[in-house]
Amino acid sequence: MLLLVGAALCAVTLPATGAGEPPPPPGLGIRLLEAPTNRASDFRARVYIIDRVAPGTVFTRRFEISNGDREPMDVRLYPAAAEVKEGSFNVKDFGVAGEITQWASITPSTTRLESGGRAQATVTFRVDPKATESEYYGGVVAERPAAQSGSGVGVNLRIALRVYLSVGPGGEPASDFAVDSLRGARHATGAPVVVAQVKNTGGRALDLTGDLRLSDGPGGVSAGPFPVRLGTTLGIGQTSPVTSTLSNELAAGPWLARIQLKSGILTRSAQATISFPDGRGTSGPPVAAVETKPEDGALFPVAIGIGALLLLALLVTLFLLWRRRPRMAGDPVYTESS
Amino acid sequence: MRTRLAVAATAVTVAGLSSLLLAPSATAQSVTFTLTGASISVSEPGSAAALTGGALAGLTGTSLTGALGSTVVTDQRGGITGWTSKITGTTAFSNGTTSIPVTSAKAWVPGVISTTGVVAASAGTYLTELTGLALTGSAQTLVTATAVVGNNSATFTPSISVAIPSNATVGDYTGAVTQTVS
Repeated sequence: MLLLVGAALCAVTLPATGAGEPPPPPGLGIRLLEAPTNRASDFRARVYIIDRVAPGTVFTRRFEISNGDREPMDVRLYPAAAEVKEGSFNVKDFGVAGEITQWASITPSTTRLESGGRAQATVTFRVDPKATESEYYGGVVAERPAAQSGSGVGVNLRIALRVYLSVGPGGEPASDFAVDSLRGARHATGAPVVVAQVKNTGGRALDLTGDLRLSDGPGGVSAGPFPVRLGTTLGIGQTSPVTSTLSNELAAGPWLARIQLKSGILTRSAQATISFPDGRGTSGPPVAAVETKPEDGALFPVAIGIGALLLLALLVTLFLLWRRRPRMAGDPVYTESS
Repeated sequence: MRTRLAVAATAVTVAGLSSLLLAPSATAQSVTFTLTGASISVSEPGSAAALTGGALAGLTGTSLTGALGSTVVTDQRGGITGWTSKITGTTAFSNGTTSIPVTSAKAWVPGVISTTGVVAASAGTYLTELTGLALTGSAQTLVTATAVVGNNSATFTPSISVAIPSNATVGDYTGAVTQTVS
């Protein structure tokens, strides 16, 4: 897995920027321009500002904003407070105070982007030396304020990079989560739904993605994978339902339901035998889930990949060494081709 | 020569592997590498949305509705990370005399959210005025994108309604909402 990610990173990083860069995406765009080297394999750290620092640390991150519209755009840049609540990451409005708004500053704070234009900005974090050990949330926000003229409802348009800043001495608290239970339910529309209760048991917030498969159904039928829907973010110690809505034709069961969830490089998988209730808008009892090995087990391919590479390197070395040894009587005679 | 080359090749391979396997210590937060690509953007026409529904006078108990601009979220981050579009009632609706609080407003996403790429974008149950999301001064999720694989985009046009209080005076009302994509 590490190897695969390494290869993928190279592939992603290689295309040159600058002259050949495609036009910016429509509207107000934002992207992170640098990420910590020690998180190179974590996709979340490439799109969010994620780090673990000691109190009193000062560090910067560069980012870029862009205007893909036809009109010039006046953009305001500021750090915002945020919270992780009810399975969702909420970047608060300008003026709402929080730790991140006290620690972070952005230069420039305003900029005018021409049509198709891009601009770089830098956010500097000066973490309070007295900050207590915790994970702090915020947003690096680019805002196009609503037009001031005319009546009606104006729209302040904001795009934000999320900030997950873990502060404390020493290394980073481990991330982990567990699927406590699975249950079958039926939506008001009649569609069967699988609801998993997921608890964040680690020391950092998680952004969960994943899928669900059904097997051992009536007549041995299997179904899936189905995407899971959830609020995007699970805070430390929080429990949130993760649902997957399935197709109407599925039999009531019982089914062996198996859910696989990922956050960054962390994968967890769990299963339980559930049935879907008959009544619309009703829910079956929760069934304790048993943790299983992730299907696309991360360690197995890594071990194979590393083993194969080492073996290859060894074989090449041995072969070349063998070719360079002093020739003995009776050996076949090789001639250099060049 | 070949021996040296071969040994060097082995050394490089092993060094490469160990650098991948031995993660740097967590205190190395000042060491960063440069990222390319991976932008996310949101577009929405800048003009204010007009609310209609008739003259204010005599319409107490009804509401004015209108469409905010067509909103396009373009996620070119190329990963599996979802995104959300949230809405906040930022400025009360005022004609200079009467101020209607943002909590009198609702937002919803009528019709289908059109998407490109692999993404499930949904406004949940906020599909009609009746089941719309009651605005507050805090950001609340209007559209959630999950099951993302690679680059994706979604286009939706939120509607907004403002309930008219009994003490409303006639006039042109202005207000502001904030849409945040992260």
